[in-house]
Amino acid sequence: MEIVRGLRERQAFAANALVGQYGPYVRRVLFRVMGTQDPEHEDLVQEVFTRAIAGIKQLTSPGALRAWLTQIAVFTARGVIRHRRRSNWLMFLVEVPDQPADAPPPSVCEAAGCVYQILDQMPVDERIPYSLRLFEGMDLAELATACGVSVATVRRRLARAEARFARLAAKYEALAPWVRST
Amino acid sequence: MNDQRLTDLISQLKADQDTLANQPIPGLAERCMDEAWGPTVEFSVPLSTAAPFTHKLRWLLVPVTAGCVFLAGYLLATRTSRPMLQGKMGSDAIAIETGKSITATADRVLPLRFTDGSVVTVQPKATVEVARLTTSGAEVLLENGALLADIVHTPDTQWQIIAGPFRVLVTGTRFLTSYRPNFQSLEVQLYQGSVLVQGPMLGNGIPLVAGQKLEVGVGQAVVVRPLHRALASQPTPPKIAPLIAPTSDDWPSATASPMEKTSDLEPVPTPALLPATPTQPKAPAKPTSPALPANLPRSPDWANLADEGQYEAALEAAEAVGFTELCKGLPAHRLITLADVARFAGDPALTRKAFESLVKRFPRERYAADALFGLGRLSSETGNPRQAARWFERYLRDWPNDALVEQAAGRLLELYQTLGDDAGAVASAKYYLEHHPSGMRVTHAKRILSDHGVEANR
Repeated sequence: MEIVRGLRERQAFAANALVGQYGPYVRRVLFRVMGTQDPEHEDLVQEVFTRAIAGIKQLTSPGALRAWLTQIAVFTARGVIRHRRRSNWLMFLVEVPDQPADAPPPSVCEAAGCVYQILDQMPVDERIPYSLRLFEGMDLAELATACGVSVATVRRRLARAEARFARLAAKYEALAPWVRST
Repeated sequence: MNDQRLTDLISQLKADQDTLANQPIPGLAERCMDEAWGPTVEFSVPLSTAAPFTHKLRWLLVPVTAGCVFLAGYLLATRTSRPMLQGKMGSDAIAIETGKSITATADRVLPLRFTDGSVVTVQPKATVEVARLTTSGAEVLLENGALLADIVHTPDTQWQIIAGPFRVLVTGTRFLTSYRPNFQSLEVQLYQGSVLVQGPMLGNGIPLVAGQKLEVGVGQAVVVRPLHRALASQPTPPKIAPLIAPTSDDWPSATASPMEKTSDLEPVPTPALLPATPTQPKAPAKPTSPALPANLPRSPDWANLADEGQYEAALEAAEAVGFTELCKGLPAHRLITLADVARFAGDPALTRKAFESLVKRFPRERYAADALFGLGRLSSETGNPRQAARWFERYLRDWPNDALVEQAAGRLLELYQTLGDDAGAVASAKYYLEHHPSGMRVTHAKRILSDHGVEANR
């Protein structure tokens, strides 16, 4: 692929093309895992692409570029989550962005916040595959590749994550309209 | 669980995320190229007076982000030709990789030696991570256990030891740091030099000098006392293994064990506890909570499990004994631990029960402040903004000089906006600007007043 070849030759057009073509995808993966309120989101996106550009020689199969970027994004997010959990007591206060005119009604905002608060309470190795499965619809093989584990392992983690999410979600009143059984 | 409805919620969240994801980040590709491949032109203009944007000087006009701070540091490092620190660990001198956990075995220490001559000795069973290496120091995360740090002083030395929410800023010292993640409690014993310890409960930071020991934990009093007196007065031996310094090899060697030097310390006058403002409630010398009732089943199991980080098992054990009974009978300092167990195990209802019990039974004890703040946070997280606002208001009323008052006042701004309570939002914005004129949420508070046509008083 032209992009991979160009990156190996340190050509600027390749880096521009990489960011242009895969920027929205990488942002989406990070949003799925971290939510949209994370103040370090742009820094994380930059870290993912910097690692990809700097480490392009590690990509042995140019056709797997997207999967490789997913892997880098997952590992980057995982590192940040683990790091934050070491000092998380005061980290819940994030900047409130200006609400756009067409913002969803407050109840959806609260529910969205609760979803990611529940994800914050989950072990990171359950949270990541679960959020990617839930939001991105990745299949087991894609998840296994992204997380660097076997399909069997990701299947086990997903099962635990689903049970944990259901148990935690039941305790959040703001999620009641979406999780209450009919 | 209602799968269809949850699917609908997820679809809405996805749509919002996709909209944001499609927005490009200006200058991203260029910053990534510079960070990955290095600058294309050497410059002599200080970054603060950088030339206008040109094709070659493309890194100069960049927004201030953490990534660009790193880039500036990297450029400065290359411009001045100072090498980045490198580290090697153990007797095999294995190169240290940043971002990877390092755990010492149970029977020996693990020395980490750095090219500036500094040595960090990981004590038995402790886990650390070298998060970052720079030209003037390193950032080391202490996940649990203890480490002994011998940091070489130079005019530019900048080392940080991070333990949970606490930071020890180092410019050239020798000290022992111990961290218990289950209770978020930190201990720093300083043998040489000086450090600044930052984090919750510590205001702008507590400076320590040689011969002092600091003990702090979230929800606990901050204590600074002489090191040798602290050792003499400890009722039980410290839980860390005896300090052992690494032996020398071809890298700069460590100095002798600090335990040999403590006896040489002159008695240091006991520093005052954190200076109390006139209205700050006095911290009691001993917990005033009643003794545990004799008929309450002794249940060390839940506490032991909590100590090992097995929160879910700890909560199960506590529930087996009777969570309500524990809430009625435990002393304050154990009740806050019980609340932490419930919180880390992901049970907001039981967390709330423990916190509320603490506030009700021990309203004047320091732990009540943490419980009130915790209740506010919990109510926010579980979608009860009205209740959260009440807890934060009570926290501010009962503990107006506590460490987290600015956080609570800032949180009220968001909560009243979420509630659509204009009067509450204006009142909280005025309160914030009056009490925290230099706070992090000043812009937000002013915006609230401006949106409601109220002038901010200066």
